Amino acid sequence: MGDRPWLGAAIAGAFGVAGLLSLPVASVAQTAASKLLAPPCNTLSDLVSTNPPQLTPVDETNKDKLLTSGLPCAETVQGEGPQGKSRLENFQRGFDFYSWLTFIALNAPADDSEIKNSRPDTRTKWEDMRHFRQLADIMLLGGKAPQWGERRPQEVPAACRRDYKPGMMVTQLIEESFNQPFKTGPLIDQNGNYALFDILLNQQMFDYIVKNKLYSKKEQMRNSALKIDFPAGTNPPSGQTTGGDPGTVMLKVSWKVLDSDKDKERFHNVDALIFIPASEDGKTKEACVRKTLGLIGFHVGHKTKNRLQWIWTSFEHVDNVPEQKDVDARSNLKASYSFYDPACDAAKCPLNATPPRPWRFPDRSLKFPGGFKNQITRVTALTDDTKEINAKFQSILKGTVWANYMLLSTQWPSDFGCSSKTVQNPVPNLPPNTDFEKQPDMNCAPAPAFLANSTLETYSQGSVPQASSSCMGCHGNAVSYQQRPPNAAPDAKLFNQSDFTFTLEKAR
Amino acid sequence: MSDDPSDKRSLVVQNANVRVTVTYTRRTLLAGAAAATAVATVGTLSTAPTACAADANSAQDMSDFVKLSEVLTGIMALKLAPAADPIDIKRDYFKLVSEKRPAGFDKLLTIVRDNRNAPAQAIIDKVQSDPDSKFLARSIVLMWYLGAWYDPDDLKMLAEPPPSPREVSHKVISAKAYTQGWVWRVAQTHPMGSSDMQFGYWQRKPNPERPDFIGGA
Repeated sequence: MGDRPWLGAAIAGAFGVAGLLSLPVASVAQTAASKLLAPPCNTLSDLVSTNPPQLTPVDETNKDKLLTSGLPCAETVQGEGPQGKSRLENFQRGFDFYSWLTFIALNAPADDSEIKNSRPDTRTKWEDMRHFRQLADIMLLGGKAPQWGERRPQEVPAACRRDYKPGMMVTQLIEESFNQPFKTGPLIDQNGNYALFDILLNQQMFDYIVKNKLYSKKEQMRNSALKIDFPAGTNPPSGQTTGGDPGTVMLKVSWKVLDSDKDKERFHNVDALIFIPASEDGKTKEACVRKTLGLIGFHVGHKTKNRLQWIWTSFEHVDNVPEQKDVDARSNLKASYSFYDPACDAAKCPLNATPPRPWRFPDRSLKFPGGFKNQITRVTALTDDTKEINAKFQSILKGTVWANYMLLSTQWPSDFGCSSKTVQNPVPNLPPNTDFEKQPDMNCAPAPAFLANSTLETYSQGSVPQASSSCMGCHGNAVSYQQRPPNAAPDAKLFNQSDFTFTLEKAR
Repeated sequence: MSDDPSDKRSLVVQNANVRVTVTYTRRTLLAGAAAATAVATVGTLSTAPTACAADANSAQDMSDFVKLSEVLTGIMALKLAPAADPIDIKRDYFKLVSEKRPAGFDKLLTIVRDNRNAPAQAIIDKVQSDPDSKFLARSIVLMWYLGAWYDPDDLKMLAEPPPSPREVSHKVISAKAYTQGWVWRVAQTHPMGSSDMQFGYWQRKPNPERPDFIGGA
């Protein structure tokens, strides 16, 4: 944690409407019932036939189906595919197809209209508190139990209440909101603004946390016997079209401050209230600032029955950064990027360097002191297959802001015998009964081995074992506050793992 | 080779101790790994490209190499080269051997190709019968277990009397190879600085009966 208390109030993000050009206020107020994200589960696969293998068309002929089929409750993938592709490549394409379906379902309009009619500031499903809640709304001061649904007025930070309207997303700045994983540094855009980060959980994950009182540090410590095992997504039973459940879905998103109207047309954006807590030394008072934030990064972690190590999807905005190989070759470069200046040479703007220390909490300007701007590249290029699937999905999203986002990759556990393994003596009515003890690789051979988003794992890109970003490699080390009780039997198998999520460390 | 994981485990020991001379006890494996680790800090191995007959992009050649590796190491092929293989260390190893010893490598692959349906021991016997093949095979075993390259000539010098006072030099092939060394799995541990084992695993004793490290579970 940083040098300020995490709490007090929150940040408010006004989605959809607050902007001058956005939806009418009535659509923001969450009064009408909203369709569930799933079920029904989206069971579309990248293959329409396996004999001979034939790819599902991603074009105008299939556009409406692809854009409206909803959220996959689990992956539907196969090892078969076109001639010349390896089993690994075929599975990867299947998972990437699943990722795009997931991206479309989560970013579809909250009012249940179709994504093809979305405006840049149309509120999305995941920004709607009927579907997802921000982590700061779950891990409350004093370890109090959170409630699902619309935020109550008293839960809005005092400094932000004046501007708060029902339906707004409220986010608090904590160190993890501006400093990257393992405190590797803030990310500063070409306007000198901090990039901001947030985490959201779906209702299944929320319910599990509440049921087991994992929102409370004290209760976590008390409940040392609990083997934390979030519900897993399942598709309908074979041959049926109804049933199934998406299980646990967790999001991490990144934002940049949008200063110009032109930018607002390129990014999905929200009119947000950002709450900055008071400094511990009392020199700076709490503040609430109103900014338009543009979506620049979008991670999805989804636990499914056959991928108990979760499936990890990573998207980002196409204007974020250039690929390193293009910078090296001085080719294919755009005129400008959010986090790279093509006109600045490496001597003056060292590549992928962190900002100078100290890395303090942002002040209400949200500008990094001294005028620093990052010069970031994407170290690992997208594969040709991923570029191909991106082009296809971007083509059916043309005319919406969502065509400006690209999938980087999907990380999935490739050892299938390992990835679906459950304990030998499962506890009835407590699925999925994940076997977390399996060895030597509890991550079950992640594919690809490394995956980094230029805005969310900026400073840990690459392919150095254990040092470079790997979703499962990192999240597999997540723990809770559970402690072995002093009277535990010497051979008692007590776990301190939090099932691939760091969110439980935020319990209070 | 039997499908019983416990048989495969004993075959590892049999192959390693008796046929390939190097004694793979838990202690010596760890010692070897420590040596490999030390080298890892010095730098990785680079090889100059040379003409070679074996082709890493040939499905047949790769299949022969995996079969050869399975026979030599006693670790089942699906563990060395999973059907969906994101690490793909086999390709790195294939390329290295084919660049270092193209003729000897070709000879080894030919032995496998000509004896596809023969028992593993028959392949081992043929490898052992040719001095060049024998020591290159030892290099391949060490490569899989330690992620390091030991030159076959050095291994030959080491094996033949009089005993050599000289240490056999070796180089860690890459950071990836270092983390993929099978020595770690046999010892039910992990390389220093890189672990995919469950948080808190250290509170449990190694269990020799666990098949999931090198066996089929």
